[in-house]
Amino acid sequence: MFLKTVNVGFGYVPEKKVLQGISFDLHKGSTLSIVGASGCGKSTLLRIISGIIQSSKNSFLDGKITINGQTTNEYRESGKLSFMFQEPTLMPNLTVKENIYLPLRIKGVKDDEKVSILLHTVGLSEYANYLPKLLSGGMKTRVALARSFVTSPELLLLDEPFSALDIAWKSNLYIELEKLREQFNTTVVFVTHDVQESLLLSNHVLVLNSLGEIEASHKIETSKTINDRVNNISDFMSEVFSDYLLPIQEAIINGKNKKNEKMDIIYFT
Amino acid sequence: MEKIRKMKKWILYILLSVIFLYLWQYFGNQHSNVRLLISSPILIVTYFAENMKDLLYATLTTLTEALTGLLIATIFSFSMMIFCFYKPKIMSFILPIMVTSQVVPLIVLAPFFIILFGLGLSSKIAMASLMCFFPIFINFAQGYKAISRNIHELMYIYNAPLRFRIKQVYFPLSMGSIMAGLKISTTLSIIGAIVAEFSGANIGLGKNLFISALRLEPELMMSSLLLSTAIGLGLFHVIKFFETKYTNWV
Repeated sequence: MFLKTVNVGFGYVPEKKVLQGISFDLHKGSTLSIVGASGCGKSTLLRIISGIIQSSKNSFLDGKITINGQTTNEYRESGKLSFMFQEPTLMPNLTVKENIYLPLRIKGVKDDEKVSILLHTVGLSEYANYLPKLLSGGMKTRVALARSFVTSPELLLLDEPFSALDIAWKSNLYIELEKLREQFNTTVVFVTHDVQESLLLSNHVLVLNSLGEIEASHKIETSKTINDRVNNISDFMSEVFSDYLLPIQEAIINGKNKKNEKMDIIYFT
Repeated sequence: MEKIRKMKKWILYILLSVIFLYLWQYFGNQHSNVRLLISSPILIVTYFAENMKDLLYATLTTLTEALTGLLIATIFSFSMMIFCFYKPKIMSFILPIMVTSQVVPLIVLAPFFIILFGLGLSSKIAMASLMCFFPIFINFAQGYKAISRNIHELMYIYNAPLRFRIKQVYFPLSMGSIMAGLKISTTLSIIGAIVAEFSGANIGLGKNLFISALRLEPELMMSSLLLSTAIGLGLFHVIKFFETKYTNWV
């Protein structure tokens, strides 16, 4: 198993967990979407997998996460991990090309050809020498996407990267993401609050509830590739409507108002 | 259109300056009190022409003191910030001390530096450095704090060494704040040098200003004042030039 989490729990006080009992396995090359209502711990889980959040004196992290047999820290240090934030997070003082190059520069690798190919893939060859301030929101996201793939990552973590974009930009980026994912055989873990997006882009969907537990999990059984899904959204949505779309939406709504009774007592007495 | 607008602005500035100089000259001629206080433009120009060598030498001395002070303060505050990057806990320890130290009116330390370093350039440079250090350091610290959390996390994900982060992220992204600090410090460096010269100096604009009051020489006072303004303005524009060059991405 490529990514394995066993009973992962996290909280800033031991009595109140943001996440609890998170266990799932993910094969190499798969795409997993994590959905749920706001504040259910989706982004926190992603940050735990990336190793950004670790156990410290102010936070409690339990359970076990292994990525390709390594701990999160070992895996991050191996340089096979990439992360895409909700905001494009570009270096404002660097050009588009330099921004894409950044992870390679950190590693001390020189690969102009790869950067040029990625620039071409995301359709920004003409803008290679532009500063980010001159780009639109969609273009910035494409730069961030290209940068995420420049190190040929084995695992890519995406934290609602397309949430600020309109549907026209989104469908373009879905296809670009899938193209790059296929090219590098990357395993993708994707956080989103958009159920349609999760169905379009992934093979597995995990729903978290407000207690930070897994409310439901679905394996999307369909013959359609992600490219087919994106190119014909309405057909795909009617195909998955009753089997996946409705149950996932229902799980999100059911999971939104779950309360930890024990927790309430601890807090209010 | 933009060019015409700029030209109009400059014409207005020149016109206002001419009116101001005319009124200054007029009241200087008419009233002896005004002449004794602020002299008159023609008298100042005449005085300047007669004593140009001495005045320029004094200006150069003050400029050297201010610039050296500014340079030392910049190097020292950068070094201190780099040290804080390597030892982050030091930053939270140092900052409150720095802020508290600013309660002390630094100017009162001028006599102390004269006793410590003597009447030469060193005491003025020390004073100018002390005045400049805090704004550069605190602005750098603010600029660093303003770097978004995502950028820090991105560097963490890509396992960027601290050396790389300092050189390629912390310095460039704090540049706007550093330049703001430097702009404040240029003026402060001149104030520091002049105040130290008040306390005792062989040469300098501060010394000129001090003796002009004792000797009742308004021409010396006004020409020194104008020269100190000129070097302040010059230094400010040098920093502004570098600011435009290094923060064009903002």
